[in-house]
Amino acid sequence: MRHTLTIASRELRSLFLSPVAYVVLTLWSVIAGTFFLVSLLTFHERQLQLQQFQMLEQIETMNLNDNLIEPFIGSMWVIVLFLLPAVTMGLVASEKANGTDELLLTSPITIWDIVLGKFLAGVEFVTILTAIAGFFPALLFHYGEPELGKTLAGMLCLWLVSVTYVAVGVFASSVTRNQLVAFIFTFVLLLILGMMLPFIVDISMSGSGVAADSKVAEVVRWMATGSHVDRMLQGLIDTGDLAYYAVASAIFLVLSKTVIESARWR
Amino acid sequence: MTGTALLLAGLGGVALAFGLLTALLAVLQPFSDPIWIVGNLAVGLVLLAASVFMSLDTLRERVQTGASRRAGRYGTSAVLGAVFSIAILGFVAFLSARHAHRFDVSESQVHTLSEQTKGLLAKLDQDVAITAFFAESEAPPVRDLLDRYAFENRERVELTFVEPNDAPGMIEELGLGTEDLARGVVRIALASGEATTLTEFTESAVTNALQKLVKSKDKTIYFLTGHNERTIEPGPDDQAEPPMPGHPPAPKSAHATGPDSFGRAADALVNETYEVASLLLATQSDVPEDAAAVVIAGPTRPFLDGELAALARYVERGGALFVAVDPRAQTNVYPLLQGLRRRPRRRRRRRSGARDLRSGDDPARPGIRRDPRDHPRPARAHALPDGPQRRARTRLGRGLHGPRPHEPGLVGGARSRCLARERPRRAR
Repeated sequence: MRHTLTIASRELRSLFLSPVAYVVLTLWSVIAGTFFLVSLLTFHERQLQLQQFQMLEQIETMNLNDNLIEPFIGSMWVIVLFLLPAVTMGLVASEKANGTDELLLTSPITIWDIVLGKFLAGVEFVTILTAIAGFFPALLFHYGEPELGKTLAGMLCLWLVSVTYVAVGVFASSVTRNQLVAFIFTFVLLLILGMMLPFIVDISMSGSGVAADSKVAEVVRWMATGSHVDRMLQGLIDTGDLAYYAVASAIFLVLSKTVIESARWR
Repeated sequence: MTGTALLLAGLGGVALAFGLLTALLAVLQPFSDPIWIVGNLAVGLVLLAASVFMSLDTLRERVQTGASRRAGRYGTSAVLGAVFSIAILGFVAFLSARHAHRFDVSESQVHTLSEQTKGLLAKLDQDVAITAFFAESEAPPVRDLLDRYAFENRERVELTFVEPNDAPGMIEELGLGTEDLARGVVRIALASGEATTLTEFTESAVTNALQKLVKSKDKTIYFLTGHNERTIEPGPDDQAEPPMPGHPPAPKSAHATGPDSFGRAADALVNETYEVASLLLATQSDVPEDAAAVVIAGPTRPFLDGELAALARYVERGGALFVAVDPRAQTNVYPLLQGLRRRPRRRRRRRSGARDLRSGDDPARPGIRRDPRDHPRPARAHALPDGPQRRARTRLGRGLHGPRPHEPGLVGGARSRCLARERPRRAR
């Protein structure tokens, strides 16, 4: 564990020595701020419209969580998909490119120490990202009364999605020594895992009308991250969803460990 | 391995991956062209074979030095270890999905079913198939609601969502109209074959529909007619309720909607799983056998002797009567009611100071209303203050648990109290 933490802290420091981390954090802050502002203005405009048309029932059902925080976090987890590859691309690939992987592999630490150290560094970074995103909904508590439980569930969801994507990034970074290739590979994997799997099922289902809820389609939908986001954003924490994030992360870490370990016997 | 061999190996891997993906899609989509599957797999294998052929020298050298043997031994071990670990993780995921628990952290518990619905689902003794016909863009809110039902009793409830355009045969078979499909339809079917369709998608609507299906439907409550009673049948003036802004117009009620009618009482009884029908006793020799209760709602004309005799026979064999009589009305129903006087029961011990809603106005005779003829009171005291509609609503709103102390002219037997206890409370 000590080795893991050492590798994690060293990796996090090296992230902040390069401009990548600062660029990602800046972009993330700007995008988060913009999305929050857009969500806020949309909420305000909708409220005015409903007041104008005297739609009192709809006004009563409007609330900060469902109409502002949920769409905001729902947008941010998609942004993670685009920015995170820039952070994870160098986690293992840079070691290979610099030739320091041999030092790591021959030092008295296990492969799991290396993999978990890299993973933890990424997790710490996405925790910072989540905290930045969480700052905006936190502002609402000063001016309004959003539900704390729902808000925290949404932030937990954003963090868990990001953590899962870090595991994917570690795997993609471990299969190549080229950081650009690692970036593209991570991006493609995240795109498939996060967004494309449900589309693939839906497209293949259209016209058949029989297997829309078949077991295979169910499994493919379960594999998509997007299938495990909505419930948690709405304040419903399902242990099945939590298990998905844990299992998906673990699978990619096992794959990363196998790929890194392969350098010893290839 | 040379750069070209590596490139060929990479391309071969991609082609193989496409082939496998197309094969997976073929499982989902029966109309996939098999040429794509075979073509991708063949190209992938050829490219990989070419890559191996170009690297034969390197491979031979590795075999001679023993490197390949070592790689094979350790590599197989590592790959098998990874496959085994992933299989275990997959099994863990399967178990976690099958035995998931949910925590609703919203303040108003919007994702939690009411206790009544949970109780109903827990007591299901046969499989229930819920099929929702919705366009994908309109499905999410309904999907969330129905998903709660399926989640609550995964053993019995099976939920299926169908895109209407994708299943014309099923829609034709079920006889669903285009107007219903435009708004979406939910069909609830029991394993026994009984089914109902819903066009209102609230928890109370779904639970009530399910309750109606599950519960026996052989209990009918008859509303007596022929003596100028309050009617339940819709008249020509009964219109649909004006639509709320932003909502589709409400369907016309199956029962009367006038303020002097008992239509809303009939609606409430239907929601409580009873069949409701009008009964013209003058044309029948006896009260039907399937009558759970007979309601005599404000008669103002005298009964025929045959009718009174039929009602008396009905009560004698254990039937339940619900009588609401205006004391000023010219009716001869009082002798019938007088004949129903019962011996006082022992005083029931009360568990608390709260009023027992099942008891009547006489504490010594719980559940039995005093007949005005027994203990004459000033006529005004017996007058109906708010009309029968209001009284019926109040009574039904309390889950039919019994008459309130200040309601006049109400007669109920032991069976009617029993019915009140059997009825479940309505879902939230």
